[in-house]
This record gives sequence, C-alpha cells and structure tokens, in this order.
Amino acid sequence: MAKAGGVQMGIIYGTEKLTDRNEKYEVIESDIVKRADVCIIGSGAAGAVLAKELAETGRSVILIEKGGYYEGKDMNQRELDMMPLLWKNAGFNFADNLRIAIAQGCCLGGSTIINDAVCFDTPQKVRDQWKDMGVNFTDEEWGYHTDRVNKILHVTEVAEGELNRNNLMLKVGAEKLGLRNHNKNFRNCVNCMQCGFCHIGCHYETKQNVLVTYIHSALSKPDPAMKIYCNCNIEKIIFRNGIVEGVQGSFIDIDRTKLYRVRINAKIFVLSAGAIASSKLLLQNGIAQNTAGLGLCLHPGVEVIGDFDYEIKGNQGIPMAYTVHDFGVTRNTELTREEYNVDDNTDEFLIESIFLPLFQFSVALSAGGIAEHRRLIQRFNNYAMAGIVVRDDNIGRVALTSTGRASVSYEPSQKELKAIAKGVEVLAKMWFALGARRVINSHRAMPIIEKEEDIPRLLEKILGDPKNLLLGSAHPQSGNKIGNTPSDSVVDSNCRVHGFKNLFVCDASVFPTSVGVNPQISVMTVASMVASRIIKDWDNSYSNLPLSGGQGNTCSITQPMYCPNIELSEFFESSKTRFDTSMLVNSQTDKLDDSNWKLDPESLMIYNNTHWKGIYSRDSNIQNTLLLYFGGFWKRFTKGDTSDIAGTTHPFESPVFAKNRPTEKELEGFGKVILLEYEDFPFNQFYDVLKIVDENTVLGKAFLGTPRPGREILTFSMSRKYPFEFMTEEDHELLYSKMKKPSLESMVGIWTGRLISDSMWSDTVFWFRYYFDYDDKGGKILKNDYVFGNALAGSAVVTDKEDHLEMRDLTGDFFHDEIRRVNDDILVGKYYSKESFITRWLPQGPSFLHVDKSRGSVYLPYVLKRIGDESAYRNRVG
Amino acid sequence: METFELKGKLISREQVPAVGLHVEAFDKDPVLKPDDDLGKTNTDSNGFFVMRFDKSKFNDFWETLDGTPDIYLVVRDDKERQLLETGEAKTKREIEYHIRLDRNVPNPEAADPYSGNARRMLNMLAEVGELIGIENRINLDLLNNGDPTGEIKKDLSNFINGYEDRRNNFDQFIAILTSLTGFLAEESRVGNIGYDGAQVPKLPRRVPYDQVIIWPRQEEFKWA
Ligand SMILES: Cc1cc2nc3c(=O)[nH]c(=O)nc-3n(C[C@H](O)[C@H](O)[C@H](O)COP(=O)(O)OP(=O)(O)OC[C@H]3O[C@@H](n4cnc5c(N)ncnc54)[C@H](O)[C@@H]3O)c2cc1C
Repeated sequence: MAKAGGVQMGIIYGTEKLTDRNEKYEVIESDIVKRADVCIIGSGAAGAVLAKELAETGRSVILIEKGGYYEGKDMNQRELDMMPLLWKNAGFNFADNLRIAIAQGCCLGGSTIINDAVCFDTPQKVRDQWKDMGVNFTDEEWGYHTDRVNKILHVTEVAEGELNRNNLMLKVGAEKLGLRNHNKNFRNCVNCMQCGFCHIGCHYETKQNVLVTYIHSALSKPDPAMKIYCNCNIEKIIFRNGIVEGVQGSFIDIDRTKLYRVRINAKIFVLSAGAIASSKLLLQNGIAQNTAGLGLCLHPGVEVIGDFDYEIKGNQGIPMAYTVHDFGVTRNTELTREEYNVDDNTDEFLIESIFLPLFQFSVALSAGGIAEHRRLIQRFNNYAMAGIVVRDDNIGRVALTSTGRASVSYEPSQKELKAIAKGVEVLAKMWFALGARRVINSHRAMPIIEKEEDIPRLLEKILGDPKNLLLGSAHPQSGNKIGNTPSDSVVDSNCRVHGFKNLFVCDASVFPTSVGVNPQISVMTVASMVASRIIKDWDNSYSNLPLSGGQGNTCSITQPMYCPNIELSEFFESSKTRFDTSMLVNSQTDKLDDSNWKLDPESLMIYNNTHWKGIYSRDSNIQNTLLLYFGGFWKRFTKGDTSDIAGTTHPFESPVFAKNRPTEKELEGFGKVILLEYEDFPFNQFYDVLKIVDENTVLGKAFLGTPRPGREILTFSMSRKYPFEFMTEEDHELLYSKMKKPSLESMVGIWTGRLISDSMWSDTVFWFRYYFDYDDKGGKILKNDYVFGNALAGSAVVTDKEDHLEMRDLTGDFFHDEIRRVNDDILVGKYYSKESFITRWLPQGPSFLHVDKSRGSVYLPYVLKRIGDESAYRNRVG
Repeated sequence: METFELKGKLISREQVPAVGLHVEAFDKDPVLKPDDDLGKTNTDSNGFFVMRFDKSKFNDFWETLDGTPDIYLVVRDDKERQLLETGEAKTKREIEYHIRLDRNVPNPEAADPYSGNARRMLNMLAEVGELIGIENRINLDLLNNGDPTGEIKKDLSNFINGYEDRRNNFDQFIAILTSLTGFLAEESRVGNIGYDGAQVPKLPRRVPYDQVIIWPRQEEFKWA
C-alpha cells in the first residue's frame, strides 16, 4: 500500500508540546504540503469512522482536526481547565440571539469526547421518513452498519446498579405518573467509573469515544495508512470544474494564532466538521450557496430541576442513564400522548435524565438572576434534574456575516415551544409528585414555581414569551441535507456534494430532518455506510481522479514569497546559486509590453521581466509589516554594449535608483554566490548576496559592510514570476488597461477586496454585495453595499460606462470606483479621488496610493474576488 | 442501631472486573493506633463488594462527637499483597467506590496543557461580544447609509431589532459568569455545599495517584 510522500504513516501531529502520549505524536514546526487518497476534515463521530474504514481498506488517509489531541490522562475533571481544551469556543458558542447555547466538541474525537455516551440506533420511523425524502440507504445497509458501529463502540445497556439517584428519580417519577415507555439507556462505556464528568472528557478512557475506538484501531495496525493533523483549521477549498484539488488552512496554537500553513492534495475530500462548521466551510468557499446551512436543527431543550428535602447528589455517577420515550419518536404507544393531550403527531420529544458538573450546572441555574443564584446553588446536593430534547423542524439557518463569521439563526416556532411546554409540564408534575418543594426551569420570567397549580402559568409564559426562555442544544444537525435535487439539498445519498466529483459532506449536517434521539450512533452509521460506498466505488469512480501537485500558499523553495523569515534564511543557506549572472538580465526595455509581461489566466501567475520584484517574509511582526507596506523594492539588470551586467535597485517608496554590479564570487562563509556591490555614496556601504535558485527566483541577503554569515540586515527573495496577489501597481495598471468591463449581471454576488501596493497586497479590506434594485420607473439598477475595514459601511450605485463600471456613493463627488473584469471571479478596480493637489506633494504615491499622472489624481488600486452569492450572507433572524 | 454501608466496584487496568480481591475498611483515628478495623470482604465475579457495619465498630471518643467515621479502604490481592489504599472520606450513611487498579507512572516534566486557560475563555467571550457589536454596527450602517432593496432591508432591520435582545442576553450572561467565577474561586464555599468534585489531581500526568472515585452520601436514598 502506498505511503503518502514516502513518509512513514500513522502519526498524530499538532502544534502543542505534549508528552507521554498513547499514540505516536510529533510537533509541527513548519508549513506542510501532503497528499493522500482521502482527506477528511473533522475527526468527530463521522470523520473518525470514515478515516478508519477507509484507511483499513487500503486508502491512504489524512485526517484533519482543528482542536488538540487530548487523552484520558489530560482530562483532569476540572471544568475551567477542560472546556477551553475540548469545547468549541471554550463553550461560549451561541445562536445569534445569544439565548441558545450550542455545545459542540473541538478536539481530536470531536463531540464524542465530551458527550454523554448515550446510544440510540436511528429509529425505524426516521429511516422511513428519510427514505420518503429521497435518501436511498437500504434496510440492509442500515442494519449492517448500525450493528457494526454498536460493536466497535462496545455499546451495552446500563446495568441496574449503575442508575444513580438522579436517574432513579426519573425512573420512579415516570412510574408514579403512570408513564409507560421508559428505559435504561444503552451507552458506549465499558465498566464505567461513574465519575460523572462525561462532559469534560473521560479520564478513565472507559467511554468508548472515537479516539479510543476507531482512531486508535486505525493507528494500531502494523502499517497504518493514516496521518492525523491536529490544531489544524481548514478554511479554503480549492476547486475547478467540480473537482476539488486541495484544501488549505493553518496550524494554530491554542490561542488560535496562525503558526504554519497547510495544503492537502487528495483524490477525494470529506467535510466532517460537524453541523454549523461544515455549512460554514461550504458557504465561505462559494459552494452550495442556496442550500448549505438551510434547515439547521438543534434538538433544542431545557432542563427542569426539582428541589427536594432529601439528598440526591446527582453529580455522583452516570449523568444520562435513563430516558422516557412516551412522547418521543421512539414511543411504542400513543396512550400517554393522548392522556397528556399531545394532539399533533409531530410534536415529539424525549425526557432524559441529565446532571452536570458544578460550573455547567451553575450556568443552567442562571435564569433566576445573580442574587437568587447564590441561594439556589447551596442546594446542589438536593436537586434532581432531567432535560427535554425536542425533535424540531428544519427551522434554523447557518449563514455568513460580512466579517466572515458563522451566523446561526434559530427561533423556536410554536411547534417546538409546544413540545418544550409539554415536557416541562410532565417533568414539573413528576418532581412535585416526588415531593419537590419547588421546581426550577430556564424561563427568565418565571424561573421558580413552588406548587403544581403554577404549572399552567409557566406554560403560558413558555408559549407566549419565548424571548425569555433560555435553551440549550447539544445536537446541532441537518443543514446540508441529503436529497436528490440540488435546489433543496446539498449532497446525494453517497453524501457527495451535488455538482462535485470528489467532494463529500458527511456528519450530523447531512440528516434531512432532526433524528429525534441523541444522534451519535446515527452519525456514525451514516458515516460507516458512506465509507463502504466509497470503498465499493473506489476503483471505478475515484482512483483515477487527478492528484494535484499544488502547494497553495505554503512556504517552499520554489515559492519563497510565502516563507517566514527563518525558513527563507534556511533556504538561502542550504541552496546553491544555479546560474551565472547572465540569468539575472531583465528585458531590454523597462516599459511593459507583450514580450516582457504575461498573465497566465489559469494559474493567475504574473510574469514581469522588466525587473525582479523584491519580496519579504510573511512574518507578522511590526518591523516586517512596515517593510511589507513601505519597504518594497525592485532590482533591474541590463547588459550593456560591453559584456558587463549593470544593476539598479529601486525602493518603490523613494526616488532612489542605486547602481550596482553583480559578480560571481566564492565568498567566505557563503560558498559560491553572486555579490552585488553598490557603486555610489551612500549606498556603497551596502552589499547584497544573491543565489539564483531557478530561472525566476533569487534568494538574497543584504548587508551593511562586508557580508558575514548571520550579520545580514535583511533576508528577501526576488521573482519575475509571481502569484497574482504579489502584483505591483504597475502590473495592476497594465492589467486594468488590458481588461474589459464586466456585464452588470455578472456582478451580482458577494466580493471581497484587497488593496495593491508595490510590495504586497493587503489583507481583505472590503466586502461588497452587488444586487439589483428597481428605480421608481421600474428600471433595473445595480447597487452595491460595502463594508470597509470591518467597520465603515455604506451603499453605492453602479453605472455602466463606456469601458468600465463606475460606482458612486454619498462621497461620489470626491471618490468613486472604476472596475474591470479579469475573469468571472476576479475584478480589478481603482478607487479614484477627485483631481487632486496631493499629487504635487507625493509624486510617487506612498504605499497603497497610486498616482494617475494623466488625470492629476490619485487612486487606490485593488482586486476584487468573488466569494459567493448573496443568499449565503443572510442573517434571517434577529 | 445505625448502619453504614460501603460498596463499590473494582476493575483492572485493562478495565475488566477485578475478581476475588480482599477489601478491608478502616476508621482513621488521629490518636489511637491502630485504626479501627470496620470490616473485610471480597470482590465478587463482577468486581463488586459491599460491607455493612454499625457504630459499635468505631465507638471511640472522636467519632462519638459527630458520629462520622473517617473511612478508608485497603485492597489486597489473594496473596495479601497490598494493591492500594484509598483516601479518607467522612460519611453518615454510605460510600460508593469505583476503583481502577492502575497506578500511573508520573512524569514530573509532563507538559501542562491547561496554562493560559483563563485567557482563552476570556478571548472567546470577547469574540462573542464582538459578534454582537461589530455585526450590528455594520448592519446599522448599511441600513442608514445605504438604500437596500426591500428584502435585504427586512433582513437588516430584523437583525438590528434583535440587538437589544442579544445585548441583554449577553450582559446577563456575563453577569452570571462573573458571579460564578468568583463563587467557584472560593473553594471553601464549594466545600460548604458538599460538592465532591474532581477525583484526580490537577496535573494528573505529573504526580502519582490511584484511580479511585469516592462518593460519600449522608442519607439513605428516599426511593431505595
Ligand atoms: C455535551 C454533549 C453531549 C452529547 N451527548 C450525546 C449523547 O449522549 N449521545 C449521542 O448520541 N450524542 C450526544 N451528543 C451529540 C454527538 O456527540 C454529536 O451529534 C456527534 O458527535 C456529531 O458528530 P459530527 O461528526 O457531526 O461532529 P463532531 O463530533 O462535533 O466533530 C466535528 C469535528 O470537526 C472539527 N472541525 C470543525 N471545523 C473544522 C475545520 N474548519 N477544520 C478542521 N476541523 C474542524 C471540530 O473541531 C470537531 O472536532 C452530545 C454532544 C455534546 C456536545
């Protein structure tokens, strides 16, 4: 079997310095570019299952996880220590309204590391509903893979003695109320130590999460075909014509600082980043713009707490071991629902025992306000708690904000509220029946009720004043539905994204509806079925797909413009100059023309042989940032009548043209190099040492005084062929002059913009939304909303001019935009000022400002890139 | 006479029930030596054990004050080699134990993955706050400075209308959190409410410890 890149497989990598690991672990210390048959993004319930199944049938697999690698011994049972390590956003993860807290894992193993280990097979009723909606998993597949997952997770029924007092409260309560359909749960936990800390990782590794089962099993094969990259956040999906070539992102530290870059090339790619994150990835990459994120379900729920005169100590033991099914999709009788007047057949919910460690419990108690809270928490040992998990409709939505964040809009409708109210009613009655002195719930307007007669008033509040109801969700799902048609689903029944040959989404987000029971087994079963389909179709459908050699924006000797200083320096030291000085010579003329300037429309590489463009490292320290924006330079070499080669170095920001002379030299401490000696005072103190590593790439170091290793004042590279984003203002001007205007129609959508300076382009600074509106007479007008620097926002009108599109907003008299088209997804533009006196004082146009001599004004040159459709950026709900 | 119950389960390192081990309970006494022997039993085929005793077993001066013995267990194998001694716990009624016979091999140099956690939490909170602030300002700007179409306008105003609500929810959340962190910092208060929290050391990789969970209860369960 192939070992990707000839490197030994079967290792976990990450950016944290971790010791004494169960699995082989190595710290990442540079950018990486890797290839494999399969690349999976997200190592949770779905990702881990896919990774193992595919790796064990001979595919080389790269599994990528944003969070870190923590195992049992790291789980120290302290919430404030563990939540930042294991929980997405340290637990501070909400729907837009900040009223619904959404729990998800962010660590190797995903949410399975922090879940309660409750296991329900996908209910037959749900499977049938999905089938009607176009999901074509056969009963045979469901059966086989459900069993397989259950076996691998060692799922067993909770033993009688394992019901702690809190679970027994639900059991006895259900019996007292005459409920008919309640049982002990099945769990994926072997000989549970009953510490009660499931939510912050199992210290004893008795919980059979996917790390100790699937991932461990794949890694313990003699020649495992799997590599795992932790602390690695994927952001970009690079694709063309329905084929994904690679994904890109960054290795981050635990504070989320970007450390290194990553590019993975593979034959197929699976997004298993979980509900919300997978939708976000699709949306931010311009994929499934009208469907991804639509119909998100949350299984919203509330907890209902009874305060008793007797001791319960709910935190001691298994938090979730007992469930009441009478009202759920799993019910086996309608009698209870009739008794409780649940009229609508679709109002389904489970009642599950649950208890929380102290911090989370305290947050759950917070509806009563701070003063009350201190009083309530004193009764910690006397509380019984159970929760309601509602099978909700597809009413949520994941979209993007103009700053690129995920926006989760979700407002429970009457249906969900009715189910919640019914659940609260049952539980409140139950706790009173068991002698509770009061019942605590999460409605802020009525957090405590003291007697059973108050229940109806609470229910009214839940139904009538939902804005004061605090909800929780641990089961976000759906949003990237399986279905047959691209207009209302994202993936087909193989979980392959409509319109793509090799892009899959497989995780809780592909459920067509909410599943109605705790979802981990369903997620894993779907992943297991999809894996087996991929395995079956591998030879025919996937094995022949091309494996890209793209490096993205990672650092390598062939693209030093993407390197941090350390590596640039190392490349310089370890490489030899491969050509003599004649290779340095630029085009005869320094005016751009077709012989010395080209743009490759496919790769968007610019070839500009009028000079070598100097490029600094990518480090983000202050000195380097200043260099990047103000310290750019070019060097130009010409061959005169004599055979001598003459050089000029020009810093973009100053009127200096320093003459120099390159010679090949054997230089002490450097080996064979090209030495650039400057001729005129004051530059004759300076020396550049250059190495030509390929026809278009030079590595260099600059020295003040005689060059000695380690004494350089700067390390840089120079190119005469560079990616689009390194274009100079001159490139921009030429490009603009060559391009035509786009059609108004083609503008509709969302674009981001970066400013061009001679040294580099800026980060994304604009966000544009183009859309059509109608004027008073019914005429169509193209409008533009803009956000500048994540702060200033406004709106402009676009008009069709002879050779460009023009945009004017309120400032139209002073500034306006002119735009032309490079291709469908790329535009070049200029943000013009009025004819201006500035040009007299700043003849060069510092940094991003560029002088247009012919008009006597200045403009900001920029590039716009289409990032998606308007529909991906709608926060629908307040 | 009041009876006390000690029960629990022992599993091996490989997480299978530890069968036929001897479990002996003692009452720690600060003055009198040796400690009172409270009883002895063996684990059954499921690794379970249970023993009961009454007050007569520890009727010395100290315990008669509050009637709560300081109990610890000693576990031995069939050759009477001591495998483990648990920490002490006070009870008025029962203690449930869960023990895994897997003493760790500490590494005093082991990495500390938790350092900087408070900062991380605050960063994430700030991010939530920013989400409310920035996004709202942008949407407000777009609505005021621009002239968006009906549909977009509706979305924008919808979002903006939700601002007060979000802001409110956020403020309340922060208030609770501030109060909570203060509260949790006062370890003694946590002690006061009788929270049997973490059962392992703060840096489990660095120090030696036994995997023992001790759940003391002061009352019999009402519905037992
Ligand atoms: C507190 C809690 C308790 C639960 N209890 C139960 C239970 O008892 N029973 C049950 O059945 N279910 C339970 N669940 C739900 C269940 O764990 C999830 O439904 C299931 O794990 C979802 O699987 P997934 O693969 O879709 O996503 P996840 O398991 O969440 O995995 C997604 C992974 O992708 C990673 N990721 C995201 N974005 C990126 C990116 N851009 N680049 C790289 N990696 C990325 C994430 O960090 C994460 O690790 C619980 C969940 C929680 C949070």
